[in-house]
This record gives sequence, structure tokens and C-alpha cells, in this order.
Amino acid sequence: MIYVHNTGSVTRKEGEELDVKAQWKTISPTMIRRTDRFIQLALLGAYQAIGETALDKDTALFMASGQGNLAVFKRLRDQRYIHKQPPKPVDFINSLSNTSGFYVAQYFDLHGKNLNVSRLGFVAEITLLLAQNDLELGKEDQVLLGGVDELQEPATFTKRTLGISDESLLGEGSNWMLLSREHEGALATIDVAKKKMDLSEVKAYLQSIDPACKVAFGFRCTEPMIREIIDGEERERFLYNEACGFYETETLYALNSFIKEGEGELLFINVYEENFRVIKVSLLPRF
Amino acid sequence: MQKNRVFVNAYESLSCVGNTAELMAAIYSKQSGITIDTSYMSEHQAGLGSFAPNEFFSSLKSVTRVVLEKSNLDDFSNTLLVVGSSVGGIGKSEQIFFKEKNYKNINPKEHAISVISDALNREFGFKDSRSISTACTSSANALMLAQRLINLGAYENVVVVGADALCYTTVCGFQALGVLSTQQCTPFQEGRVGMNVAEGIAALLLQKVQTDESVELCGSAGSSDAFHMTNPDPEAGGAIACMQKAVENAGLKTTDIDYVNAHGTGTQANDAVEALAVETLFTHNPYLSSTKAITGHTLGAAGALEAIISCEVIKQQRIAPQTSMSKAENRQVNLPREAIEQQIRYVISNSFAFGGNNTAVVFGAVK
Repeated sequence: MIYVHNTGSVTRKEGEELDVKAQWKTISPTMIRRTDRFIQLALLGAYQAIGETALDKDTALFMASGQGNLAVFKRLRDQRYIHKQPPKPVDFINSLSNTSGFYVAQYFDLHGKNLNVSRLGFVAEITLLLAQNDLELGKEDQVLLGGVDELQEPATFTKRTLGISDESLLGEGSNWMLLSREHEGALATIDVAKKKMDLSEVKAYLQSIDPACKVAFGFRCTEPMIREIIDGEERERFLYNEACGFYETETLYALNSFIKEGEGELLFINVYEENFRVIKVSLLPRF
Repeated sequence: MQKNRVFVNAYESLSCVGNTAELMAAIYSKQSGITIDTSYMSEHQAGLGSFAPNEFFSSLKSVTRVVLEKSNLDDFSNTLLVVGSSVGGIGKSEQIFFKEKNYKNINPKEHAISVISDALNREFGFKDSRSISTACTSSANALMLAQRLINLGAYENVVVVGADALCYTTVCGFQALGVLSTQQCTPFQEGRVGMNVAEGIAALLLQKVQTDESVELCGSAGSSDAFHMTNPDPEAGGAIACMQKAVENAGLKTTDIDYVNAHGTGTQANDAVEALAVETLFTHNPYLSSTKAITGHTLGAAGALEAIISCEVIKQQRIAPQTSMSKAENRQVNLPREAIEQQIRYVISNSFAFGGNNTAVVFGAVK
């Protein structure tokens, strides 16, 4: 069993404004230099979860991202072909996958394992699973886990390549949670199913759990697919989607929102290339 | 909880000196594969390690296929794939951009780190896949993850692939940082001038089952300096912590380690701190060497490539010599000038990355 102790989220939808730099500057005026918006987004989300709390130095840091820092890739290409210059050292450094993780580790003075997981589809689920494995094995006592994705425009192009409908709004976010083996003071438990499922397996899984458990679906789940999964059940849906556009790590926003606002239990179901993954969150009594 | 043991049962690699057999021959005979190149930067020469321009993805499949052929498996349908890479598909995106001078046809699915696992999944039909990207510790972290999953019983077979191709971003990026050597790199040498960027592919099959060919992956650990984005902690706290934890994870004492396969990039900062860490932690003075003067620094592939070198050192009972070093900067560490035959029970292999991301993996002869 693993426990969620803190959560924090920063998110916005297409068309909304989010001045990440200004917000982060009010928290840490000194840690602006050399960081770009993606890194600041990571820092800001982690800060929403942890604030000024001093974490154990051995806390591991796992960060997930669907696309990583694509904006810096564009800057590097522009330097080469538009400005006819070699890469700026700061942009090359910021193009590394673990740069955001470094800044988060440095800000919170974390000296444990520092991982960055990157993939399209299930990136948050896989990263949670890695953390769950390490916590269950006793390899880690505590993991600060986050998912960061920055909105890239034009949105129509991104939607096409990510395989989501034109009607869906894209978004961006930085969503973090502190996971631990320690029960005391926890907000919720979290259980990531270890295996991928097909449609019939996910339906059977849903039918096997408490009818009071709410259900939420990832953006890639279409309405016909959702109807097929629910299959006439009178199960309450947790509709986090209205406040959040699509990004690869939106799963963490859904979980954080439920932990903050929900009641009871939630089963989060996501799909990628006809495979399903599920995560169950159970809220604990709050004092 | 009873942990499953983890065995490395098959592997293959491709680097600028060739396949694994050719790699070990080059290491023991101190023949570097680094060439002096101006194709990425006409105004600067750089020592690079390259094997097959434009054939990276076909080579990736070939190397993985050799692992399958060497294994006890009929296919990879019940095997997890864990990829460690820092470049992913950036080279593909660069080719499109350099040809078309715009971003219109760059596909995020072809750009991401996971493009490597996607390509291998299409070819071999793995049960599932993960991609780890932590710059130069990527595939060392992939090995650590694979070990955890087999320990836990989540998988019985895991293929770890470390793979990074040369591309404009990395070559010119390291040049912009002023750490790229114009010649073959000289790890641990006094007055060394920098590193060689290289490409590499390394694939290892890790299994719960032991075979006649097994080397044991005994332990692994990671740490974070949280000190500086590009410079390691000068007191080597992070490097020491990760090696210490890896030895503990293996259930060993530091005095059990016979050979340290160094990260040893040839940069001033890395080698000084790594030598200090080894000197501080391993007071029995085990042999220490870096093979990057032979292969160059294969970035995200380095952890997996050097895992294979570590397994070969154990199988051949022969320490890899330190190439390209005439005068050591740190005289307190034990840098062998020639290959040394001796009993080798345990080897620790280090990988360190920007951001102070440290990983160490311990391999042992099977008892």
C-alpha cells in the first residue's frame, strides 16, 4: 500500500493565461536565471505540493513528461538556421531531460534517486507504477512524483499528432504528489494496476469493485468507449476534464483534483493504442 | 520480502569500435575508435565516435536481434523493454528541419525519447516498454529499474537497451559548453582537455533464471547531488553516496569490489570528482579505469555499454586498462596501464550525468 501525503497542481487550458515566470519569481527570485518556462512550470507545480516543508534528503524524485521540453528544441533549431549560431550553452543544458529534475531537487534539497520518464501514452501511469514498485520493495521510503507538460502551439498540429479530436482543448500542467510508505497523516492511498488491460478486462475490473467507487476517464477515452466500459452501470463520474485541457500527464491532475475535492474512491481509466491502464485512489479520513 | 536474483544472460553492443567482441579486443589492445571530425562543425574539429551514419535504427534492431538469438527465448512477447536514451528521435527531427527549414513535418511521436522503444516494439512485439531519459545516466537507470522489477517479481525477462545516435544538438551543445576534445580523450590524465561524444547501442537481457552464461546484477543505486546543473559536487558527496548504496544493495562490503568501471569522461570536473569518490570510498584501492578513450562517451547508452564491458571483465577475469593516460592527476587511485589478469568477483560501474544525477550498478561472478 502506498500513501499520498501532499498534492499540488498548476494547470491551464488553451486560451487561458498562465504567467509561470511571474508566479515563480514571487517564490524564488534567485532561481530564475538560466531556467526556462518548462523548468519554471515544474518548479511551480512542485512548490504547490511541498511549499516550504523540509523533506527528508533521501526522498527520490520521479518526473514524467509526455513530450518533454519541446520549446527548447525549437530554440536550438532557430539558433542554428535562423541566427546561424551554435547552440547557446544554457539552451543545450535545458534541453536535457533531467534538467527540470535537477532544479526541483536543488530547490527542495533532495539527494535521492532522480528519474525522468518520457513517453507518449500512459507516462503518468508508468511513472506512478515505478514509484509504487520502489516503495513496495522498500527501495524508497518517500517519492516526490510529478508530471510536467507545456502547451505547444499551433494546437491543431499538436492535436493531430497526439491523436486527440479537434474539439478537445489542449492544456498544460505541472502536477505533483508526495508518495510514501508512511500511513500517518496521509490524504489517500493509491494503487496502480501493474498490467495493461483490454476492453473486456477493464469492464470486468470495473464491475468487480464497489459500486460507490467513482470513475474518471482520460482524454483519449472517447464517449462511445466510455459507454461501452460503463455498460449501463449507474456509476458516478468524476468530471475533472472541464477545468483541464489535454496533455500527456493530465492523469496526475485528475488524481490530484479528486484527492482535493472528491469523496470516497476513484477509479481512473486511461487508454492508449487500444490498451487500458487503471489507477485506484481511496481517500482517507481527514482530521 | 524475498527478492528474486537478477542475471544478465545475453548481450550485444555496437560502438565506434564494432560489436562486443571487437569492443573488448579494442579495450585490451588499447585501440581507440575515435576519429577527428569536422562534419558537424566546419570551423571546429572534434574527436567523435561514429559507426554508421544514417543506419542507427537498423543497427538498433540488429543488435537487439542478436540478443534474442543468444537468449533462451523464442521471442520477446513475454519480455519488458526498458530503454535508456538521451537523444531519442532528435536526430530524425533535425534531419527534417535541416532539409525543410521549418517545423511543419516534425512529428512529436518521432521526436520523443520513446521513438526507440516504439521502433523495437514494432519489430519484436515486446510485452510492454518503458523509456528513461536522465542524460548520461539513462541506461544505467534503465538497468536499475529492470533490477527492481525482476526483484519484485513483476517480470521474469527484461531487455534493457541503451541507445543514442550522434546528432547536431549533442555535438554542438557539448562544444558550446567547452568540454569537447579536439583529440582522443584522456580520462584521469593530468591536464586533460575534454570528452569525445559518440554513438552507441547496447542491449542486455536480464532474467530471473540463471544460465551457464550468467553474470549477476547484484545491486544498484542512484543519488542526486542537487548541487549545480553542470558541475559535480566537488566533495563528491553524491558520487560516494550512490556507490555506497549500490554496494549495500548488493549485500556487499566496499572491500569486495575488485574493479571500478569509471564514468571517466575526460572532462576536468568529472574525473577529478570521480577519482576523489573512489579514493574516499574504496580504501583497499581496487583497479579503476574508464573505457571512454576507446568508445567515446555514448551518453544515454553509456551505462548499458559499460555494463556489458563490466560483464566481459568478469567473464574474462581481466581488468580493462586505462588508455591514453601517461600521467595521472590523482596518484591515490589505482589506474592500470595494461590489462591485468586476476580473480574478479565484483565490478561496480559508474554513470554520472549533468544535474548531479548519479547511478552505480554492481555486477558479480555467479556463485
